[in-house]
Amino acid sequence: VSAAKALEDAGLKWSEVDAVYDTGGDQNIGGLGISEYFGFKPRVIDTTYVGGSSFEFQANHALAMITAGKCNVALITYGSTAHSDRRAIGTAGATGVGPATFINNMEDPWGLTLIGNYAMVKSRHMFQYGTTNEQFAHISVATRRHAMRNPEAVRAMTDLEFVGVRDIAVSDVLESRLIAYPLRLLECCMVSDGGGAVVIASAAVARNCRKRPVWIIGSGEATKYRENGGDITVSAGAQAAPLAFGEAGVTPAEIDVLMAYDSFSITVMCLIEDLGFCKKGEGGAFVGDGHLVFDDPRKPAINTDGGGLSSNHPGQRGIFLLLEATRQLRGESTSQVANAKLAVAVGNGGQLGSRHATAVTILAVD
Amino acid sequence: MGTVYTFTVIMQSRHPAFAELGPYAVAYVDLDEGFRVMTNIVGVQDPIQDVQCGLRVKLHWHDQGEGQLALPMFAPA
Repeated sequence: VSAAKALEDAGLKWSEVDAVYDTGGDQNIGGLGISEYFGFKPRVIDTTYVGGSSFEFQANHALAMITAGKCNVALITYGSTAHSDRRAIGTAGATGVGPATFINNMEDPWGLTLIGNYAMVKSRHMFQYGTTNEQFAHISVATRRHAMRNPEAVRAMTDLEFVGVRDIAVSDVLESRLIAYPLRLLECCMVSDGGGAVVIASAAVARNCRKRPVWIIGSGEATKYRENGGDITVSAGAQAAPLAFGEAGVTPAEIDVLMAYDSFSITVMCLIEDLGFCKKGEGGAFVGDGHLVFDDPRKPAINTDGGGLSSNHPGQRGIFLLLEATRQLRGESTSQVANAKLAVAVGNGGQLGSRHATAVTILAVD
Repeated sequence: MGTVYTFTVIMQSRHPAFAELGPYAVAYVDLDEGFRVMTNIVGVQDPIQDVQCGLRVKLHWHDQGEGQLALPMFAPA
């Protein structure tokens, strides 16, 4: 359904798709299965999977392949039934199945959950920079405000039986229950179902599309992992961002909308700092004065669709960052930033406190 | 000996081996020899109150019984 909507939005025919991008992550379909499912005969098949950030990686790769003349119309697809499957993603702990690897035999015995992994980054951030729980809570509050303006997010929160589908205050976040100290419930993304699709096309094709295109003007990607003596508060975004901003020829100060992967409050905090919206360690003060919302004149607005915290998170949220960034640049968001010209989608996949991948995609209006 | 680099206290784990433990601390500990290891901090009354970044800790082998590997955990020094 998402693929059909995306192609209709672009005014393109199924037969024009000559490149497929699918993570294969949740449904185990991938570039191989998706071709058969839709009956494509693609020239480019890509199953890049780096967790929730996969779609920013795929968008960047699709652009490179189009630029190289290997394809003209790339379709990125994603679908997940994580909620309906009752998957315990954040609190499940290690699976304990499969062969021992250098990863699981040194980590599984300690009972670290996915949420605990991110919580360790928050602990260190608070210790190292003096960041407070109140400051972190502002991220959840701003995101919920955007969600309440988005009917689809309200429906998702209602369907998932959120306690109180309403705007929240800092005190609500601080009083929500601890899941993994120091992360509380309202700092954690939901587990929902969801799907999305994005069409990336050559300039010649895009010019003749039904809707005004938005352009990818810069991209960068990187990985980060545990290192002896390393700084756990610095994400791979610190390495990926200069590549993307350098290519785009713009600075963070010029960005109107930041779609930052909000698996948890700490993920957003690290990405804001590491992409250069403020200095490292000063994210607490940056987010703490409530300047993340769509109608604040100070840029950027963050996660204007309601984010993973309050609209959807089916396991790999990266595609929704591209979708909402595009809506903003077309003036179609339910929390529209006035005169938005530049947007950043930054995906963060894997687990922030151990190994993760970050990709930055910078988008601009026509 | 080592120093707690960072830690979390798991309040909710659905893994059968950990589900009934009650709150427990998982940490990265920087060993004095230079390695950073993931481990548990044990020997504390209340892990949220009693564990902090920078806490000095010492090795505490956790015996899992006959024929099982003993696990290296850490307790306040």
